Amino acid sequence: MSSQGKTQVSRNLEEKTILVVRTFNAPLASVWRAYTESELLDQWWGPEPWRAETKYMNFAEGGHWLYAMVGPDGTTQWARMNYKKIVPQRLIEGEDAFCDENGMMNTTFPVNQWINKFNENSGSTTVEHKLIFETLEGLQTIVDMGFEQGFSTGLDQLEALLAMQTV
Amino acid sequence: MTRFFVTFFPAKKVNKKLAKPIDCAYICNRIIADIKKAKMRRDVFQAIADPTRRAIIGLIAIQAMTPNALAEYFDTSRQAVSKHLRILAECELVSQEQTGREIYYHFNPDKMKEVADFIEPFRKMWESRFSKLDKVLLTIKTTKK
Repeated sequence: MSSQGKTQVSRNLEEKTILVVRTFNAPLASVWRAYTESELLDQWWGPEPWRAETKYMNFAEGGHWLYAMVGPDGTTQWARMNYKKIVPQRLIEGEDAFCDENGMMNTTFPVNQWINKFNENSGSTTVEHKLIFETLEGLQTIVDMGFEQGFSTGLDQLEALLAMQTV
Repeated sequence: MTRFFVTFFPAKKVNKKLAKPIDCAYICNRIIADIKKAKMRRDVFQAIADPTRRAIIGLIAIQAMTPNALAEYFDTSRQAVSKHLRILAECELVSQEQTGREIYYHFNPDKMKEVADFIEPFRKMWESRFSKLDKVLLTIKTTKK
């Protein structure tokens, strides 16, 4: 319970992974719904000041979620999440990518693999998000974007990119 | 977002604890050391902002290499590769080791860890997301009960 409400981020350069862990004061069933139902995802997936808008959702192995990240000025960035493996209320494995509004993947940006694990413990639920990067460079992309963009005007874009880069 | 970067490029801390008697040379050295430190920190990020240098890091992270061996992977001249290596060495992302007549370059993962700390904006992005989720979860509970 002590770590509840705190987002822990750790990285493993050898594995080229970033682990994001968060505990929610809610039962597993609710958290699972929030991660898997598009109407609920739309309410939280966009980090401030962005919001997510679902265009298509098929939560099933081999299915995908196609959504737009909409910025405060109306900027839209399309992304999709491909679901590869689903173990109900335990695990979701997949990849995310940039795409166009029809879901056509944009391969100039790296595709990230991720594994989300869900665990309930006396009424609260911990979700582990493991983001897997193909290359150390891919992992650094996040860092680099933070650095390069930090001094330029493309901050909005950076936020979109950061948002899309992750699960 | 700008706020984030102020956090990560804090204004140089002034060291108030001067334990030794204040003499001019001592103060000068401290100032120079502080500036050097700040500059080095900045340089690490400049170093990895370059795609060729990132590729070099990627290669020597697998195994130590000589500048000649590295140059074979790039369309640039051996000189250009050496310049990249010098920049990487200056900010300690790579280190040199003389073996016979050859100089081998090694990757320094500790320095990269320092870079990884730059991931704070990333953490904040998730935190923002999760605080929204906390609220969403409350509504799921209320509507269910």
